[in-house]
Amino acid sequence: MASAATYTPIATQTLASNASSVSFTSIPQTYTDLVLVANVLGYYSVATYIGVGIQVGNGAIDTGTNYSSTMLSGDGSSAASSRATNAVSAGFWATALAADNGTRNTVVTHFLNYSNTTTYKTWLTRFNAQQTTNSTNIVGTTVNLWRNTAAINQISFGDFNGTNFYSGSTFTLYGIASA
Amino acid sequence: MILPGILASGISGHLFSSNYVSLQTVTVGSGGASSVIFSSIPQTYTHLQIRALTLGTVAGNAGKIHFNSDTTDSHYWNHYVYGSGSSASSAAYNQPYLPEFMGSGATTSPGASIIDILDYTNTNKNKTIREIGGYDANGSGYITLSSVLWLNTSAITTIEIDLSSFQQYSQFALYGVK
Repeated sequence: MASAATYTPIATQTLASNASSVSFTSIPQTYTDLVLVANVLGYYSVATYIGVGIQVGNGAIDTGTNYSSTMLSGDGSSAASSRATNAVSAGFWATALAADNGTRNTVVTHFLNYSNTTTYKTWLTRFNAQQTTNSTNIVGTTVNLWRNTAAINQISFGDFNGTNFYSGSTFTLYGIASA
Repeated sequence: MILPGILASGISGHLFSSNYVSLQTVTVGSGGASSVIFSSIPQTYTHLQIRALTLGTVAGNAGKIHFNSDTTDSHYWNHYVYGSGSSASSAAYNQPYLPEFMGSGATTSPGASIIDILDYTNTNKNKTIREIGGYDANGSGYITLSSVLWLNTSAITTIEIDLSSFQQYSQFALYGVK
């Protein structure tokens, strides 16, 4: 029986200044799965969470309408489900505030079999958008589809409300290799 | 804070590479398969995790997970909450349904599943399993958070996941978490 230690950090980015997106490029093709762990806070003057979108590509980020998602979420009083089709990114929610009070919340995305060239790519995201100055919180999960059989070697994590992630937000990409 | 051994599908924490070990992988070939089996599972880890790309014959079907060759449905309970894209619902069955909501075609709706099998070597308590999984097909699909209870205190040494037919390219990878 083969066994090998894995779950290897590939790259980490910490925002030194506010930015609207973070990208990972030249992702090695030597793993089975990727895991992206983001600890973020976005800026939004009128709401407490923002739309975040993941885009991927091979050689270049695919900005076409080739993404879709199914979401399950809860806001503390009810559960809901929603869907996006033919979207320009794979979307979910992240915490946002009009001023940075130090809050950061975590988003974890699992890209399954990202380097195969036979299947469309599916990934799972868990997110929680909650903060300390407002009672509006949300927690949820999504399954996403990229309608492309290409191996993923680029990932972009972007603020799709047209604003920025605050500095200090962190993004770490891990690789998991199966036996 | 660094938490060695925290489950990889959790939403926070970090893993040490040496604490997360690939054990076995099953990739379904061109003939398909009716089951995926992990046997002789080492008893030297705290938790197990299965990471799967799921391709069944019909999108949305559920598999059945069995431990130590116990195929008696009444020995298992399954609870899950799920989203259909339009509403959220929950259900329970006296069955070992897992993975839930598997995908289907390789270029239409491949599914994903991450299954955590907690404290699998402990012989003093029944076993609890949890899953995040689902599929999306650009206009249809499901996402779920699921659990299975196995009413047995035995250490888990064998895992079998059954479905009428897993399609080619389905892949199940088993990992040990210290």
